[in-house]
Amino acid sequence: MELDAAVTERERTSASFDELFRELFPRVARTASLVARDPQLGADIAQEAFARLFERWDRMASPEHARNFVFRVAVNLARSQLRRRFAAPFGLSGPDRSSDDATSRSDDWLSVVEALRGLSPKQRTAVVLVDFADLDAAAASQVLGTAEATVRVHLMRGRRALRERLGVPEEDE
Amino acid sequence: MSDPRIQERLHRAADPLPVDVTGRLEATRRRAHARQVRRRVGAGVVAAVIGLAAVAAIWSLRLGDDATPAVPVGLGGAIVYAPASNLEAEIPELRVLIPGSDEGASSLHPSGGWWSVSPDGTGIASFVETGRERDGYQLTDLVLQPVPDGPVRVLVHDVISAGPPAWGPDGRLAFWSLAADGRSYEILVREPDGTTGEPVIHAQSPFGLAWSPDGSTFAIAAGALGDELVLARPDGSKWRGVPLPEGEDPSHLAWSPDGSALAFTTRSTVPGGQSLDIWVVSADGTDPHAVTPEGSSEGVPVWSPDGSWIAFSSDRDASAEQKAANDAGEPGGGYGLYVMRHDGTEVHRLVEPSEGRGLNSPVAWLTSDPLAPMGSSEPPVALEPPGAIVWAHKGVAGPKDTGLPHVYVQAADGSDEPVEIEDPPWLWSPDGTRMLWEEYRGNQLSDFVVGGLDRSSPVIVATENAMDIRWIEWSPDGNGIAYTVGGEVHVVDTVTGEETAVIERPGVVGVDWSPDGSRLVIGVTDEEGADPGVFTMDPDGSNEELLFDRSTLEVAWSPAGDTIATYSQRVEPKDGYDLWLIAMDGSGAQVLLDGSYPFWSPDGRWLAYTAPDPDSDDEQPDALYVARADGTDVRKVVPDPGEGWPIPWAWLDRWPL
Repeated sequence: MELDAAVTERERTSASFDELFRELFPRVARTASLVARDPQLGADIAQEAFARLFERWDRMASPEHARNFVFRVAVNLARSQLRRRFAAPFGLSGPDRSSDDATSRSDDWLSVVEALRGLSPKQRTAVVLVDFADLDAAAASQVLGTAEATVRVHLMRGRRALRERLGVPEEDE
Repeated sequence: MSDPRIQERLHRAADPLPVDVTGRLEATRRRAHARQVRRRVGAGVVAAVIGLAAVAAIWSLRLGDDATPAVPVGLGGAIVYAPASNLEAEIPELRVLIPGSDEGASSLHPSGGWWSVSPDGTGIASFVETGRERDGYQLTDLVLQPVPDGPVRVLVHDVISAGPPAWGPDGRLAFWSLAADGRSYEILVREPDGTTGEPVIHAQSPFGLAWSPDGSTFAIAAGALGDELVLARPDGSKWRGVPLPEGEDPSHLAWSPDGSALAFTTRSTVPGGQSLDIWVVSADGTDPHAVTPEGSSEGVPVWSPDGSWIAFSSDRDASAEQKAANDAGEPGGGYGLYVMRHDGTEVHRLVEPSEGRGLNSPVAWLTSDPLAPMGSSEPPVALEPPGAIVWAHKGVAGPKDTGLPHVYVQAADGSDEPVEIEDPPWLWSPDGTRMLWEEYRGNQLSDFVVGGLDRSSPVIVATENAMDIRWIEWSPDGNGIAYTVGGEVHVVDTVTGEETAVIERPGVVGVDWSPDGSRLVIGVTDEEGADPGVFTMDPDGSNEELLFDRSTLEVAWSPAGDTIATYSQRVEPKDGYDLWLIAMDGSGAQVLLDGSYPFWSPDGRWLAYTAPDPDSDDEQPDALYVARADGTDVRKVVPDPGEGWPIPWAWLDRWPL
């Protein structure tokens, strides 16, 4: 009886992880790509973030907790990859990497990534989390481990810089 | 609320990126399972490292062997380490090694396992098994054993812990304890009054805990916190993860004595086995990087009391068979005890590799031998003067065609050869977490910028006339920069980049801040139209006060605030300059010695300066000296380099990161 209950619980847990994975994985992967400014890295980073989530799945208090956790790990890994690449003697940034993937050579990708390059890491992450990953400022503050007010400042400055670089009119905010 | 235009551009760019959700889900599950298996294996390795196993055996030190590099001069204090023989010893021991001493190591026997030596060396905290169980786990008591001898006291009863306790300030102890749910762990703090507060930090799979020397931060290696390594306030109110590259699992956390950096062991899976390395990260969580090379297994870092060395365990000199076993994740042994600089250079072996499967691993590095009898005539071993001096080689071309000189760092007692700093900043912030650097357009100095040690979050603090800046100093709290240029003193907010004051003062050269940041001191020369002397004022230029009326180039306010060192006009002949000390109690100024570029040691007991080198035949024979603040005990640290001259650039209370 007890064994049956344990198996049922494990299956239920596994199903809910799969559900969250299918819902969030593409968004986390693309968020990581934007933060790292690398079209190929996003899925690898997201996979690692979800692997860590899987290990701790039974400690997650709610779907929001799990979501914030996986975004947090992914964003940290993306920043870490970025630092490592810049530390390389012949560091290459996202749009310059050779790739056969058409997306990574598209004008939309290249212009956005080039514009993101001009933002500070915190501004870039805040903008991507809110304007791409669709998190609100409170959730973004959980992901970034900083105050909500600070996120709003990064967001405001990041959007302003991004608008300038993308040629988006100022009066839109 | 999202910005629709930006939202649309971001989605247009990133949504077409292909993502194989089903394939990635399977791969994610495989990776997570593999890591869980690796964690279980890793727990065994950690247990071996801290030496809970035991049978008595004598292991002889073989210092002095021809193959062993000489112990460097100036390596002071006493290193406590767990010898490899503990693996088979019935009663485990800790050995105390005095670097550079011909004496063999003396030993002491801790009462329990998971031991931790107090920072002052007067006690060992450890966990002693009670023989009772709860939920299948052995219950232990956290005990304190005085060193060298005394009755053992139980501090906390019935703990199921997961690693050594971490000493905090004022005798406080933090430790992992299994939570009531029987699965996760929580951090408890045992206060000196015997109380233990409510836990506020919970974690799964704890692999390490270290408490910063000022008590402000826990470094935690554990799962379920979002990152493998986390820096958290002890009350749990604020925490931040330290992003590490994929697959690096940290353990054996060790704060540097000044709390500016954290060293730790990482274990990562590589094809065919595992890799153990030592990493260092700044206290603000930035710049985590490996300091030990690939090709050998290193771990268990322990800082020297002055922060200039790290002791560690390594299999770099082990047999090929032992190394192969270690690389495969098996206990091959062959671990010796070594020291190195924080960046992995200057490695010296102190204890030879073990022949069996055990490890020689450091436990603590104390300022003096904890087993020395009370009242011993042996003085504590310590570096004097303390810390490291950063100096610039002026008067010769620097590494780039930019005007920036070659910059070196070396022990302030002059015991080591200088090491050149590649791409040095102009100045480190007082707390060492930020720096000031220069930006060039072409070969032209254009701006001075402040930001993180990785040059993140840059704020321009000086752009106009940057080429002509005479002197620049960081405020003690790091929130301001003062510099002199073109007969003006500029004060700039380093957070906003806003200029908060411009003080007109023809002839001004030197500027410095009072230790509390409430006043500035400036040195003014007797050039035409100038009113020479040493003046203090508020950072906005108000409440000015004349301290000394001689023409002055350089000024340096002592860390205690009671003295200002200056490079001011000599009494006779008046075309020369001397190093003066001005007392802030109104008792006046006096010549200290013939020297320039005064620079205080962090503790205010010493001054570094540049002065003629009587041992050199050079036309401009300048060397770098240190002397006690009363002018005695003069020591030459950098001899006259022939061409050019050395000047003090910074004096750090630790080896710089």
